[in-house]
Amino acid sequence: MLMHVINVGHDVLKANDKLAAKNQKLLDKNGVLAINFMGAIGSGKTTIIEKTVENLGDKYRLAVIAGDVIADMDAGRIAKLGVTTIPVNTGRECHLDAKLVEKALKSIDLADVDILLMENVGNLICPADYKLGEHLRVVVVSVTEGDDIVLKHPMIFKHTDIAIIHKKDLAEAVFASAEKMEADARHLNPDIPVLKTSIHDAQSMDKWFSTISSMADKCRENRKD
Amino acid sequence: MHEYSLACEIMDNVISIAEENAAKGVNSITVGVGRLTHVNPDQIMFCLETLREDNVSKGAQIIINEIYPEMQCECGFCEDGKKLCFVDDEIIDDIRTFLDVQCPQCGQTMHASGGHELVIESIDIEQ
Ligand SMILES: [Zn+2]
Repeated sequence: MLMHVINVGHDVLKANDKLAAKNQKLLDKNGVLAINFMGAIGSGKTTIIEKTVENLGDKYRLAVIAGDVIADMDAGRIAKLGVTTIPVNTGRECHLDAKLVEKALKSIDLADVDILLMENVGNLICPADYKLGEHLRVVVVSVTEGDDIVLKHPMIFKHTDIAIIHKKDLAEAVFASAEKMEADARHLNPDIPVLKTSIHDAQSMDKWFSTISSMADKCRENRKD
Repeated sequence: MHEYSLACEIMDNVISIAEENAAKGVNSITVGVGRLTHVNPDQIMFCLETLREDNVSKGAQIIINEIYPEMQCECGFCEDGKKLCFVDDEIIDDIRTFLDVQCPQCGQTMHASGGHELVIESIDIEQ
C-alpha cells in the first residue's frame, strides 16, 4: 500500500475572487457601475434601492440583482418600479457569491445598463468574505439595530467603500446614537464616507443619489465603445 | 451558514484530486482557515466530517490549521499575528484582535496582511 501526500494549495475563497474579477471585467467593458448593497435584515437596503431607482431612473438605465434566501419578495417590490430585476435565490446560502452573479449577469443586457444594484442577503457577516465583481461596496445599517452594530461587525466595515447609517430619524426613539455609529465606522475605516440618511430627510437622500450619479458618470465615460 | 457550502466545495475538490491520482482511499485532509475570514473552524470541521462518509474520503482524518495574518507597520516593524491571540495560553476568539493593533515601535495602527484564505493545503491518499 502506497501512501502519498499531495500538496494542493487550492484556496476556495480566492477562487471566488477570481470569478469576481472576471465579472468586473465584463461590467467594465460595458461601462456599468456595479454596487453591492450589504446590510442586516430590516436595515433598509430594499427601500434605499427603491428610492435610488425612483430618483435616478430618468437619468440612468438601471438594473437590479436581488438576492434572497428563499422568497423573491424584495425582487417583486423593485420590479414594480419597472426596472430590470433578476431575483437570485441563494437557497441555503447566506450571501451572494461571484458564481451566482455571473449567472445572473447572463440574463441582463449589459449594453443597456448604466448602474447595476446588487442587493445582498441580509446579514453583516458572510457577504464580507465574498466579492461579486462590484465597483462599490456599500454597507447599510440602521439605528434600530442598536448603535453597537458597527463594532460588532468590524470586517464588513473595514472592507467597504461607503457606510450608510439609515433611519437616523428614529435614533432617539430607540436610544441609539447615529454619531456613535459614524465614529465607530471611521475608527475601523478612517477614510470611509459615512452618510446618515432617512427617507424623511430628502437632503440626506440627495447626498447619496449625487454620490452614485457622479460615479456612474465616470463609469460611462470609461465605457469602451 | 456558509461553512456547509464551502465544505461541499472542498470535498468536491478532494474527491476529484483523489480520482486523478487513482486513490483507493484518503487518509487525511488538511485545510487552512484564515483567522480574518468569517469561516468557523469547528463548523467547517463538522461539515467535512459529515460529508466524508459516502465517498473515497470515508474515514479520512480532518486537520484544520488556523492561518494567522502577519501584522505589519509602515515603520517596517512586523509581528506574527498569532502572538496577539493568546493571553495566558488562552486563545482570544475575536476577529477584532487584529484590527486595532498599535505598533510597539512607533505607535501607528498596524495592518494585517493575509488571514483571508480558506485553502485545501494537502491530502494524504492511499494508492
Ligand atoms: Zn511602527
